[in-house]
Amino acid sequence: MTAARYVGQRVRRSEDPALLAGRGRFVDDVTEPRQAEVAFVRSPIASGRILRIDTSAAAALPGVLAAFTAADLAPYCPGWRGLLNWPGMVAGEQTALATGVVRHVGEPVVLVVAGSRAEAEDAAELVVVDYEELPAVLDPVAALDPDSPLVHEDLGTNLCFTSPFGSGDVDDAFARADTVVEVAVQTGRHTAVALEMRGVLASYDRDEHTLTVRVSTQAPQMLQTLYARLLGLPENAVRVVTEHVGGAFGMKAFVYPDEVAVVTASLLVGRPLKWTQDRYESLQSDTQARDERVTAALAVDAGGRVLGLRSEVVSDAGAYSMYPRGCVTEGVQVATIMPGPYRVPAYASSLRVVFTNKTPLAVYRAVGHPPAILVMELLMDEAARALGLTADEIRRRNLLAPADLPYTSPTGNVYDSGSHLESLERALALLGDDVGDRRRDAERRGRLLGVGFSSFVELSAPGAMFYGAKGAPITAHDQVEVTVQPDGSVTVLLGTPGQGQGLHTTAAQVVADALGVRLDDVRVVSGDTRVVPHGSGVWASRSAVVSVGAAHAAATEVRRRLLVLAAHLFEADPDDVELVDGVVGVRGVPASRTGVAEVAAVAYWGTHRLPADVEVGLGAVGSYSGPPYTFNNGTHVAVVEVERATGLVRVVDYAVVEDCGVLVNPDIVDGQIRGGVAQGLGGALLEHVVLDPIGQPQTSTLLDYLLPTAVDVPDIRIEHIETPAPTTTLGTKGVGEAGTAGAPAAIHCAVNDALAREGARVWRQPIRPEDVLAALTAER
Amino acid sequence: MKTAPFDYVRADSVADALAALGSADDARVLAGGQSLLPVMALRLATPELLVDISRCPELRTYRREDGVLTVGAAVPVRTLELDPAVGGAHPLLVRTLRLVAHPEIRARGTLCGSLAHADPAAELPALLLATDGEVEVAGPDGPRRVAAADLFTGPFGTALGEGELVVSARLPLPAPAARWAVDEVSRRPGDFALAGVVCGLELDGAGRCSSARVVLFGVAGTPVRAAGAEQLLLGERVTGAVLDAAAAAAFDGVEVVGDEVHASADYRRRAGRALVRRALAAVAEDRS
Repeated sequence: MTAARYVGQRVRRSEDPALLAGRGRFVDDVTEPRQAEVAFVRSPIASGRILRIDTSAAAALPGVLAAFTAADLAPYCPGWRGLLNWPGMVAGEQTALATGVVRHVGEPVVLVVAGSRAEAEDAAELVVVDYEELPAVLDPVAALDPDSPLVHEDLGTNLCFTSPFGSGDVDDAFARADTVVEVAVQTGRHTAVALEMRGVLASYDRDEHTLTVRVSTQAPQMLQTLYARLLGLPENAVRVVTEHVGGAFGMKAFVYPDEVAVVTASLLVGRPLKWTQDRYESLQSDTQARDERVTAALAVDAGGRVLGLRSEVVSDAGAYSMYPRGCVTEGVQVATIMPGPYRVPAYASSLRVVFTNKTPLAVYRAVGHPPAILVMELLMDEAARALGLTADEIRRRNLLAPADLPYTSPTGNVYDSGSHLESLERALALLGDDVGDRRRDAERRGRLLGVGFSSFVELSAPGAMFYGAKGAPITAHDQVEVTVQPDGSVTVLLGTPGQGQGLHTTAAQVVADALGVRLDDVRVVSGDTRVVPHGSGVWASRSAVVSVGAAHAAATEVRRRLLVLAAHLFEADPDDVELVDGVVGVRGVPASRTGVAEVAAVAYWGTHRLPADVEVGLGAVGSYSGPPYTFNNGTHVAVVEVERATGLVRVVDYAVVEDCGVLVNPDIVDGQIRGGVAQGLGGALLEHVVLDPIGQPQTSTLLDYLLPTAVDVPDIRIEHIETPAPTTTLGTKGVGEAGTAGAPAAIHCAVNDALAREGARVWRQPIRPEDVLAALTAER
Repeated sequence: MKTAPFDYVRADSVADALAALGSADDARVLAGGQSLLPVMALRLATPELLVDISRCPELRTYRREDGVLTVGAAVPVRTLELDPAVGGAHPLLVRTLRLVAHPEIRARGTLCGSLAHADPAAELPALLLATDGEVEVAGPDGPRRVAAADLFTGPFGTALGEGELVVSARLPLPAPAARWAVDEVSRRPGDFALAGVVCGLELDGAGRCSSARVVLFGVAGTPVRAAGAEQLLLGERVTGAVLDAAAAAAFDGVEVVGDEVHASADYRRRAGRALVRRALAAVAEDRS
């Protein structure tokens, strides 16, 4: 390999011009000839039996092509269960349209097809559905009561999954402890609120017998497989296309009933069908996340060193385990990530994942990490207060030092490298030493200033065991095909789609370096299963490890073949041939230098000049699976001001020290961190799916579901530490979710630091001004 | 999220608009559309006819005359906000406008539209009430004026009759001796207020309060005068103790409405009192 020329550089993103100019191609931007549009009738109640559906008035409306119920689609598309082989896990059946029972507000019941969306919505209003309303299961703890109504009658229980986690003698640890602190924490139910809402454009070609589905998804090949299975088609007849995707965050990594219904209906109607979700539907039917109730206790010795940790986690899964990732991952990660970057000799956790009559809970950026890190960091601060230590000192005494690595956490996670302690010290330096002055200044303005730390590790780029071993069709590998064209330009086909995170740019940097060509000569293509090799999709911060590894493997192989070819032309030994910046030559022989284009041309048009043992063409597919996972690490520090009079919290300063190993493109990493912190800030302070006592969503528009805006997010100062991963091709670790993982804890700890000066705390997210004011008043 | 079918008429004059409004059972006026169109998209409003007044020349003007700023019904508030003459004549208006949503929304939304929409959490109805403004109304029975105190009848409810149209808002310019403040608490800048206050004081030569006006918004079904606070201020020197007492009494007799998403009634009352205290102090200090 040649010296890194592009890897590590702040190369400008090739993705940006089209997106910034509004020329992205999202699902709704594409229109097929003869296209018709879909609207859904969705359940208006959280729980009930469907007694009767009358679509006759809707079907009679001019412009309406069809109105389908579950009975209409069932012969063509069976139901499915989001069941993974976690021991003892149960999951109810889900169908494209609700079959006999509705289990959450927003569940699709009837699909209406018309010439336009407006006509389809007019018709949907005329559909009559009679329900027998049933008592809704809304509290996940009460749902475990034997007398509770059941979300899925056939399961006989609302308990989806339960398991212990941890190792070490926890009872002994707590018996030996000088100090034990306890917290009971609840995090708010979130949803991803992608800028581009979900959408499908499905076309069935009756002559070719092929189905083409344009869909806003993170995992095109996964959907290709699952559409084929559900509809009984061979996989080579199913093409999934995803061009630009306007945000997904885990929410678009599933088989959604409404999307399957549109795809199935396209076969029956015989015309391309488009459905573009609206925001009202998005806030009721996109997967939700973070709804975790955690009680936890930390045992420390007199010096503040952790002896043991206990936690009980109740995860509110909502109505279904979404296929294929299921609803268990978040709860498992809350339980298993909690010990974080600290030396925790003993840990015992119990997890219960519970079905309720809510929109399904699933994975969402930094799956499980925000609640896990939040609980651990709140415990650290409580222990520090109990012992009279500062927040940084107690962390310093417990964070893993270089000598501790590799370290196996009490839940079996192995941290092979990192800068756990150093990231804290660097964050402290970023914070500066004027906190006292800032506190006094804030006090003069009627505000309490608080500083909060969040030291964390984040599981990223998980490998084959993560889902594959659980029986889900989710691979850990990626493939990338690199081809040098006859003119020397390079085409890179990514198995995993680039969706705005900058993967096209990152992959081009890696390929240009590995191959020895100029960045401008590399063109990256992704997102069409008929064109690209296999890949697992965009999830769990895997691209910078797995896609990059595959791109590197492919480019390295092409480079090898190019050098063999050039050596033949130069009549030299391949080991003496060099390739730098697109120029090939024999080392030490300047006169031999020639462009890649001249060599490549021979590989295609001059094959008569080649002996039989030199391969024709200059393309190769590289595959990469990566290690079981990589753990990035970091420390965030947040400074907040809490207004005494109103309880309003403003984040006024924020700094991040992040270590994700080797940086391919620092600008892209910084962007991921900034966006992630903004998302975490939303979780800490604003975002919350609110249901009324009968399960009716109260936050079905963005007037009520509050997202952070540019004015709510402070400037974020970022520093990097680069501790290379010993196990990945380029030493990279995943980082796409790290900002979201760390931010809720840092902000919450900062708020509690401010409130603690008045003897108050808050224990729920989002931290509403109302809760802050109540806490300040109650404990005075 | 498509609107139910509706008819659309673009009016070129007030007369046109009134005729159109009278032609349908369920006609609604479209000005900036910033409140109406979202509720139509959700099919929470399904008018038969929209009468678009946004391009009526006679409604697109505003003028200052005899101590009153008269603003036509088709004037976007951003136009007022950016006009230095408006800022000079009525600084409270501009400060209030900056609390209304975001620049993009203010570029289309109108002052009269906000008044006619009568959202109880909106700033501009409170401003109109606090400053004794009124609206000029055209209708089938001829023109009339409705004072702010009579205009707001409940959440999203006004005293406008069938077929009537707000053609302008009349905002009396603040007296030179008066000092005003507007303040609100909202989860994010630009959101509707969880509690808000517009308040104004005039002090006489001896430093006693000769006129007091405290109007709360975002806390009840309409903007509401805090009569308890006003009475405690009148005739008094505005000492800290008097301001404390006034703020404490601000919600006397006010029926505070809360909700489970944004803030409870209790929070609105408590934060509201603190806001009143802070706003009155700002006004009093401005004077000194």
